Amino acid sequence: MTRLYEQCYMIRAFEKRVEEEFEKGVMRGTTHGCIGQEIIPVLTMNYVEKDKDVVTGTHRCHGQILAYTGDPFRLVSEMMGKKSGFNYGMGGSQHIKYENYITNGVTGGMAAVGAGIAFSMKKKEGIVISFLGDGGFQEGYVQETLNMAQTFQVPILYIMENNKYAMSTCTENVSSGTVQSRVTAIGMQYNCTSSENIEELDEKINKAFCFVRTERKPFFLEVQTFRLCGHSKSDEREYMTEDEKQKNAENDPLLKLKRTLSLEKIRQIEGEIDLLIDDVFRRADKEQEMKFEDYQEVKKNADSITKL
Amino acid sequence: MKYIYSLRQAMAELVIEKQAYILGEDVSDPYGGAFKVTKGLSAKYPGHVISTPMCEQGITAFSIGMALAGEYVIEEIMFGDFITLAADQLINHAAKFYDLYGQKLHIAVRTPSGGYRGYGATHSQSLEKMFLGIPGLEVVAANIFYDPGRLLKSVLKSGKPALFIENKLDYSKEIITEDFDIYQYEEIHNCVRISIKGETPWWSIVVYGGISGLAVDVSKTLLFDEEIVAEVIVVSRLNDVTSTVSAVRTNKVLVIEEGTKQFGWGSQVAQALAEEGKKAWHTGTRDYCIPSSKRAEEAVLIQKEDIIEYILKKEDL
Ligand SMILES: Cc1ncc(C[n+]2csc(CCOP(=O)(O)OP(=O)(O)O)c2C)c(N)n1
Ligand SMILES: [Mg+2]
Repeated sequence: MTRLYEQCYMIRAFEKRVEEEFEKGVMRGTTHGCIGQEIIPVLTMNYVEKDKDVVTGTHRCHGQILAYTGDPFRLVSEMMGKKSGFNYGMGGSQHIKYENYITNGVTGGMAAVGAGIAFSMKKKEGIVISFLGDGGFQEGYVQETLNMAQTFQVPILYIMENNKYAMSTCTENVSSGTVQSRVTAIGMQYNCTSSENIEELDEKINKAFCFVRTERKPFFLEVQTFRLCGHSKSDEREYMTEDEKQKNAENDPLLKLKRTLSLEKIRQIEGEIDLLIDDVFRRADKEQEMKFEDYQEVKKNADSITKL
Repeated sequence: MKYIYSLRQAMAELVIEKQAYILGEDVSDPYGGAFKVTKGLSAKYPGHVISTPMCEQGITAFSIGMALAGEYVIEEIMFGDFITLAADQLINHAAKFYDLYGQKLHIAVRTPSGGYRGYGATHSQSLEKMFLGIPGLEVVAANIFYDPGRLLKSVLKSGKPALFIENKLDYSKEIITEDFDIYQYEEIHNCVRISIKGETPWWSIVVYGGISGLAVDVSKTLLFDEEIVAEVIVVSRLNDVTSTVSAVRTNKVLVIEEGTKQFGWGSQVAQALAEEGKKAWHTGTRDYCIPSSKRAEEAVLIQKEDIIEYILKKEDL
């Protein structure tokens, strides 16, 4: 639990700091925080075999990337447009590829692409882990490729981070049936859990990985969760009731993790991570910004880092 | 009036006058769209502002169907980059119903294009050129020199399906539709001509959309720093090359656009101008993905300095 809290708290501290930097006007562009949802990528990445598996992400990717790489310095560099970023500052908050993790800013797009990567995985050892949201699930291309994944029996594990909203729109108000009924209608293996029960979440993630690795078939894991922050930098969550926000805050998985630790331990972990985050933000701030002239260089290097 | 209010007011009027529907992701209150253009409308006109699921192709098909059944429909696509997802419905459906079946379709698909905000590669592009040259599909671009609400109303009432391009940086700007500062303002052949009062230009800059203000700014710098007199032709109807060409008074023309330079609107307009015997060039954004880093983004997207440099290079030709 200590390690888990460290991992989750690092992401939380990172996202909080990003919010502050945006308020100060130090960062530009946009950002999608994952406060409240950290536990999902953290537990998922524990089961990823980095040398074999491919992970496709979403626009809300900071937690996924931090859990995948453990490298807040390169992420903040990327977001500040610095050469020391994962993509030399070219991509920014939601356009990042690093080793076998790849994401993009068109919601649901990567879950769709993931199915094709998984087709090629049939010849290899690894599997694809594909994150998606409840909003992205409504896109035609996501539905189309779910069908293809199932029809062509490709080794892909979909992890749906169902925070019940797509931006301000409550998904329940704009969709019919359930995620379960849609996924199982095409015969895909499905399971559901929530970020509130950490042990159960971990167990179900583990089982889902085992299924895809041994059966080499698709599996869809829906994780009920909630975000404790706005959709993006300037969103005050006006579309949620105070009650809902309050209830979510009380069910924060990080609070649950904290309860398993001594006060002293918590203080020590948070103290160390706060220092780390402060340090990486300061260091990244001093790094060189990417220049256009570097752009060609970046593209040349990009070829050599592609090894999906 | 601010650009954003003009659009909002026009939509309200269309709801009142034509019982129009407004569809799109997060268009209802309290969000009122990612750029807040429809804010307040769902409260005022219940049932006419419909927040949809996230599915651009589906929303576009649905909206086209509504229009086919006689409704007036204003669809919003959150970022201009996602217009690619609506392409088949616009090109192979709406445009064909209009051009092949002679069917009137009162539909405008509004979407904000453009960069300069650090949003990165998939949230900053100007892809409207991909929709040009499709018979049966109108492509219009709002700008601060022509009341965008007026443009939206006329486009929707025309009955020809339209892609309606807005620009993220323009929403908060004041619109200008009369003489201002050192400029004379005229509406001419579907375009707006902004020239320097009391001077005869020998350069024309032809432009559309979000960088129209930039072009006007360029003409001032050219006048004061280089003693070059240039008029600016601001175009709203991108397909209407004939009107655009006829609005140009000089023999030296630079056509500029925020989209990438290659295979663009600018090359088409410059070609048509050249056929009229004019010296015409075109430039735009460099042919690269738009980086999110500030300096790199600035270097890729067209800037004031690039335009001035270009004109100075050609001044003695
Ligand atoms: C194709 C496309 N349409 C719209 C958007 C704008 N957008 C970004 S995130 C988002 C909501 C996504 O909801 P969901 O998939 O549930 O993920 P969450 O934000 O809740 O993590 C929208 C509409 C986009 N990036 N891509
Ligand atoms: Mg969601």
